[in-house]
Amino acid sequence: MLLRVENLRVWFQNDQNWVKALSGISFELNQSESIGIVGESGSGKSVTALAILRLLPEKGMRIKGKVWFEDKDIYALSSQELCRLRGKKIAMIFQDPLTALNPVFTVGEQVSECLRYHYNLSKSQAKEQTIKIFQDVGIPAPESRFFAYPHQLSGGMRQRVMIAMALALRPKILIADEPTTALDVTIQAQILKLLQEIKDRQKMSLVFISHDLTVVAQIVERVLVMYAGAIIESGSLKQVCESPLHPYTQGLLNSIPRIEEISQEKRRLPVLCGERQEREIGCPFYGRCPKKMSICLKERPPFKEPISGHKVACWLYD
Amino acid sequence: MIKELHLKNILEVKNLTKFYLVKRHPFELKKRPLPAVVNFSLTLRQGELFGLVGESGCGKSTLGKLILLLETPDQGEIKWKGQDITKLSSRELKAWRRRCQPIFQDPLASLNPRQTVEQILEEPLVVHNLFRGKRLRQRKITRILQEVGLPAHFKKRYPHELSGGQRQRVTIARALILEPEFIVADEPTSALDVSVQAQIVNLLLDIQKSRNITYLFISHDLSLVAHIADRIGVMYMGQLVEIMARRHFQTNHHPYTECLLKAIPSFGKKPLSPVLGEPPNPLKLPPGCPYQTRCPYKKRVCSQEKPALKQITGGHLIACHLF
Ligand SMILES: Nc1ncnc2c1ncn2[C@@H]1O[C@H](COP(=O)(O)OP(=O)(O)OP(=O)(O)O)[C@@H](O)[C@H]1O
Ligand SMILES: Nc1ncnc2c1ncn2[C@@H]1O[C@H](COP(=O)(O)OP(=O)(O)OP(=O)(O)O)[C@@H](O)[C@H]1O
Ligand SMILES: [Mg+2]
Ligand SMILES: [Mg+2]
Repeated sequence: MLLRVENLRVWFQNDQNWVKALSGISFELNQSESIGIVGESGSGKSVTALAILRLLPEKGMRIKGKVWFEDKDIYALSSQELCRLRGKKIAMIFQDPLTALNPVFTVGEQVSECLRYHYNLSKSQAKEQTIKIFQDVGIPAPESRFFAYPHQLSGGMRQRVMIAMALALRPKILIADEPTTALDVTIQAQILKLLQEIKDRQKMSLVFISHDLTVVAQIVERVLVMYAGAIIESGSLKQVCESPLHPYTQGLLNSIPRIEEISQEKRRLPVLCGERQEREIGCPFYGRCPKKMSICLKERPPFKEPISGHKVACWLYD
Repeated sequence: MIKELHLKNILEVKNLTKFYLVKRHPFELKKRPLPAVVNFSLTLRQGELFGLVGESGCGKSTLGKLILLLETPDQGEIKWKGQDITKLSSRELKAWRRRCQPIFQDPLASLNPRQTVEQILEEPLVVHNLFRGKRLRQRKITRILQEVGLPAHFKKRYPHELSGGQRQRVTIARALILEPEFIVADEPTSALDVSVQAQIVNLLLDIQKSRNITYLFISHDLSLVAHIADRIGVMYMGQLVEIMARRHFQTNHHPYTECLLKAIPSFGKKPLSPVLGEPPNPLKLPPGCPYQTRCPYKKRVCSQEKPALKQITGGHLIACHLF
């Protein structure tokens, strides 16, 4: 077991109220395993990722539950230990590389500074290493790109720099939060291929976050589906995509316009009706669920495992 | 097939060209012309949904803005029912703006945060002097909200009190309230989740049917467009490289379209390794075919001559030397 998240709950302060963002997230990640976290906007994917690395703001935030890396409780580490963990053990890439890169330094400087900080390298050693990593992530002409500023690179190149930076310290886990959402499909395919290659080569574990199940399906083995701050379904990629259990997952899969299913006749897309509403009691999906029952309004469904390895939080499977 | 022949041409765009003058860095004195839309010709038929796809920066939005007359073209003409709309008087222009309405990607940015839904919807009626009298306008607003699937009590809400999908419904209502004949929808669902996207797209399709509206639907998502469009245009570096009808979707395509299709992620298939690299710098386009720098089938002629759009079969046009 490399990473274990146990009943993670997060609240944010909104004026005088505490609003729940995560309500009991639990999952495990093994060595060289890759899992995907999918869910609609606001379902808590990024908060989960940030909570693992203890990157959530301390002010106006409350957190309960545990995050274990190997045998260490991440929330019990000293700030120095935490520094070593971030980057060297667990690295993260963010959705928008432009905000994560510093505009006033060249991309080469940013990666080599990071290497120097962690490995005590000389300036020229760090530069040499950086150029090698740039080459590994498929940046053409890495020597000259070393001196490029972030804004001088295309979106795809910037994301490669982010990946280079994340991989520079050979982390055991890479958390990628929507790494391709801002990119065109052609560039997205290149980045996915690159991540897959690196993962295989370095035996790295991957947590891949996206709102797009088709993208996640290209790269992960296991999927967690989030809805309103909770995991409502989890299982192998095949289980979740081919025989989804939760009505939300079923609706989500239906409303994706799939390229294999283009018909001669134009038609409307199948929809999942309504939008998310905040609910304190009962099932959070109640308002939109086509299969709702009276119990769903009263009690929150427990997270059960009706099929081996395939878990779901829904009263239909009780 | 027979149905298509009966459709009237409604909008004709001919050799439309737009250059933006850009500096490569803030201190450069000389501005360079960046070709955003190059020699673009396209005919839209009454009541069809034409989907325009292409990568970021290929000029889709620029084309939309040119047609909406939010940008002035450097060359070319745009004819609406035979009349060149780039040469309209200011009165005729106002009438055109009523007939042709935009829907943009980011509803929050295109809605005034200090106006309620009601005020947002009333404003165009007042500007165009339609439905005179508060009562008539109120009734119209209620009816239009119903048409886009919003309850009447949403009138009093402000944009920030709405979800992304609801906001997009408000912008659609604002476009519809003037009873346009033509809508330019520029990535109307790119900021939305798939489930909400499906709702909005269905709404647009229902409106197309009930009101016989013509759409230019701009998107970077080929699989979405392929589901909903009557015809599809594929744009690359400011130019159309392919035009096809639904029935041509399963046939041979321009190498760029082929690559776009291969790059679309789907279940049960690993991403094929697309050989091509990054799109070229639009300021340094080589002579000949704009796609040659990424094309796996490049021949000698591709760097010498620019391929023109040629008819492959009825209604299927491709600009490529391979065909
Ligand atoms: N720093 C914060 N302060 C207050 N609320 C927050 C903060 N960060 C996140 N939230 C709230 O927590 C919820 C979950 O947000 P999160 O960013 O995890 O969503 P997400 O699933 O990543 O969505 P997206 O797909 O849009 O990135 C949202 O309702 C959001 O408004
Ligand atoms: N106002 C402007 N000034 C200078 N250059 C511009 C301007 N607007 C667009 N461009 C440039 O023109 C080209 C086409 O831009 P456009 O916005 O039409 O692309 P797009 O296909 O809509 O892309 P996206 O999918 O990212 O919206 C791009 O290279 C862009 O940088
Ligand atoms: Mg997020
Ligand atoms: Mg655009």
